[in-house]
Amino acid sequence: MAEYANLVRRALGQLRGHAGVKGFLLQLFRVNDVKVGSLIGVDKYGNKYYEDKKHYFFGRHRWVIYTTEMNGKNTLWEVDGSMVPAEWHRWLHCMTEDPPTTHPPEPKKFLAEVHQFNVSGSPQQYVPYPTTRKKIHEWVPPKAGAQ
Amino acid sequence: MLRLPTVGRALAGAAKGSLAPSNTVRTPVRAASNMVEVFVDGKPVEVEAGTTVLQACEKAGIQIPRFCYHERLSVAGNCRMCLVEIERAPKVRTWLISRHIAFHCLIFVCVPCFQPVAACAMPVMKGWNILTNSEKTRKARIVIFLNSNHHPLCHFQDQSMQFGSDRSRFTEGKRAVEDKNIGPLIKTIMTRCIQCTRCVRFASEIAGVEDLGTTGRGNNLQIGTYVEKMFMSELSGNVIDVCPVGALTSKPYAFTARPWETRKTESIDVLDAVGSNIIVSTRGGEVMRVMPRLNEDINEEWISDKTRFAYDGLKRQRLTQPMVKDESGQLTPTTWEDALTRVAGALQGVQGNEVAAIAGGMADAESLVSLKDLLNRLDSESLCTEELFPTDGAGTDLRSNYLLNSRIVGIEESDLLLLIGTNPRYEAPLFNARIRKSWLHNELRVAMVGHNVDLSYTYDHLGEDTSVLKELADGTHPFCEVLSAAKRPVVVVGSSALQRDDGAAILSTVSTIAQNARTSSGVEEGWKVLNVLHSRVASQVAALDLGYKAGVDAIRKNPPKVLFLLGADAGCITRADLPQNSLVIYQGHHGDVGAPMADIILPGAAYTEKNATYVNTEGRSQHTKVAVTAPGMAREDWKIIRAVSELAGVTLPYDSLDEVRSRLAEVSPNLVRYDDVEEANFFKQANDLTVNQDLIAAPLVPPQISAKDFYMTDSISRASQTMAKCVKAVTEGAAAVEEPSIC
Repeated sequence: MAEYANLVRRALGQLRGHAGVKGFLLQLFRVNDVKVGSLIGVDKYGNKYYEDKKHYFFGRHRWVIYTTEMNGKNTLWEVDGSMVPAEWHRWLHCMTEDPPTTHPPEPKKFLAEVHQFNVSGSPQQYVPYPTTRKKIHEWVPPKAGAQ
Repeated sequence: MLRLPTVGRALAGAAKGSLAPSNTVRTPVRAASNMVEVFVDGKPVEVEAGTTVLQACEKAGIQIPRFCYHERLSVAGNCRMCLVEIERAPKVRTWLISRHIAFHCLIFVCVPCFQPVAACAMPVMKGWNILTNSEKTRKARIVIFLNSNHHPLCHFQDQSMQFGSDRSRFTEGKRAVEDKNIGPLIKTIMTRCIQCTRCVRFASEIAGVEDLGTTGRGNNLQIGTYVEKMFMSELSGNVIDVCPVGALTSKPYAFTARPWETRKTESIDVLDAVGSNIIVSTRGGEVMRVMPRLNEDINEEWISDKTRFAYDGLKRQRLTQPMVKDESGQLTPTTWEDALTRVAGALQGVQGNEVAAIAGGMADAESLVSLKDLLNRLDSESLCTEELFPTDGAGTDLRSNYLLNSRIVGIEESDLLLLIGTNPRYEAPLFNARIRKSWLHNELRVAMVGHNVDLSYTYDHLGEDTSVLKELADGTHPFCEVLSAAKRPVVVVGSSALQRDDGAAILSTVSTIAQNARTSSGVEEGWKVLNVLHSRVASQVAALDLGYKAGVDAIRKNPPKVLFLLGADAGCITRADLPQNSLVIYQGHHGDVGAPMADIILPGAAYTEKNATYVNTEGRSQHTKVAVTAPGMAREDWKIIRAVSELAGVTLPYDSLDEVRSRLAEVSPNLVRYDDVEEANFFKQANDLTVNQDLIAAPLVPPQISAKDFYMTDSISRASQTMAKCVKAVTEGAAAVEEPSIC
């Protein structure tokens, strides 16, 4: 009997945490996980970062809910792990205990202003090109006006 | 039936044997009693008296290891690798035994004493038994592999693997030698040098420049130029082949390829008129280096620097796409269809003298004959070569008038050579090397009428003026006595001297000199005296054989509406000589002088990229083979002309290379008898037909006088960065082109 009461309490807590039934269903279909936790921070793109150490063991205690639009791409359904910027990535993967809200990252030259997610498969993808020198140098005809 | 090469060659050989003198100097006929019998490892072998032990063993089939011996250089005997044990006939023993009996207190221990003998230097004596692999011989061949930085093609490494010991017994300190800077072509790593002195002997004997020598003695012996001097010779690249270790290597080729990665293709060089045989090494579709091939008749085993190092010009300034001049006058790339239809359209509208062609210096016989057939079908006879040749008198109708009739080998049998208006050192370096060889070994006397140039051997300079020629022909010059006393005279006139306005007069005067020399010397019928040395143009003889007119005067007199330039880069005809709206079509492989002038450009193939026939200045027909494919959209030249003919409606009757070659055989059968010299006759008739003209009193100056004129003479060498470095080094010194070394 007590377990059912616990279960109901948890369910109600989750509904409340996700702002109602609509939010709950959106979370369920988008993230496939309806756990609630304390909101640690939001990055400048809108990704939300949560933590719950009490109820979940190591590995499941920190998670991110991605934003709906990043860098011009609609990411409501097409989310990608590479959307997480570097400073939050550090915390999310438990490399540190300190989130960037309490310990902002040291500015580095190689950190881009706007974080780019993985563009493979899109027109902006990297295509390898040869860097060897040309074997045959063609003759460039002289400019007509110069004659 | 005569087209079968073996049958034709056999018949040609039979015909040759009857009239021409033998061209073998190296093995003159000797009495049979001069042969000596020696034993090599017990096997009897008959050799001529005076051959060395090393040559006798080679005749028996056994190669004795050596470092400093080279067949074409004098014997040095300083490397001591060829030491062998000789068992002599034991006459000494009997004498000593009798001595012992007579003075029985004396005890003679008669042991056949072993003194190892340098096989390269010791001449054989009768009855010797040469042991090439006995224990004492093997002990004498000491090879200690001191170098860790050896060269992958190192003979030293090969021989020390074969003959050296397997463990080190070296307890002294090692030496290192500084690298010398001897020019932009030869990379020196003198620590590897084993002081075999092959390069020193090559430089002094064959190249004629005494730049390399030895300094110091014993362990401190260094080979170099002593002062910082460039090894200034047009044959300098051959020391790379001659050095048995990696002390002298090719600087442009360094670190570009490994020899086992490359494919070798046998071919012919067309950067000068000698037609030296080369091997083109390629890897991955580009030419990596050019090496010489052995051909006793033309280049022995040497090639000139331009032949060896100008291959990087094949990769720059190339024409890779057909181009057409658009309305604004700018050449833009286009497709083959477009270019060929335009050419065909232009050709369909012209007849007779309105269309003309100029053949350039590197045009092959196949494309020459296709072009001639095409233009002849359009009723035109205006096909010209860029180089002028006097057409008065016999002109180019008799082959003897424009060939090097004595052949390059014939110089070795001659005893007097008269050069007129030519600088063979820079015009045909291998011909000069042969002259020098005869001057050195066969007592050839050389005289020159022309600019006083350094030919690497001494000669009698008779003067520069054409008046000298007139005096020689009349018999009033003091040198005429020497000329008439010569047993086998040879007269060589340079083709540049014949390009002057009084070229016909020069040719007739020279012809008279040659005839007089022949009659007064009493030499036999087959000996040819008059020779013409073509300087830089490899296509001239083939073009004249096929019936091209020499010189562009015919075009200048009748300016055509359509001009076809087949690789013509000498700039003989410019836009100014042509009418206003004429069409110029350029077919070639480099964008040099002819291409910017053209309205339509058809990209052709260079000599390494086609199967082509070239005839050298002796009249010897040789063929190149495909080493790399032509770049981009370029195609073989005769195929382009065949395509043009089909679109123009006058289809040429051949579709494959064999059919073109049978067409060549129809016109002039010697063009497909490869590697044989087709000799020419009718000297007397040619002399009788000459026209008497006046000689102009200008001095006879060949176009290539100093070293800097040698390196860039045609479109390929002008595009080459290595040749540019050579010119810079020659004018400003070796330090000007020194680059920081990579290793």
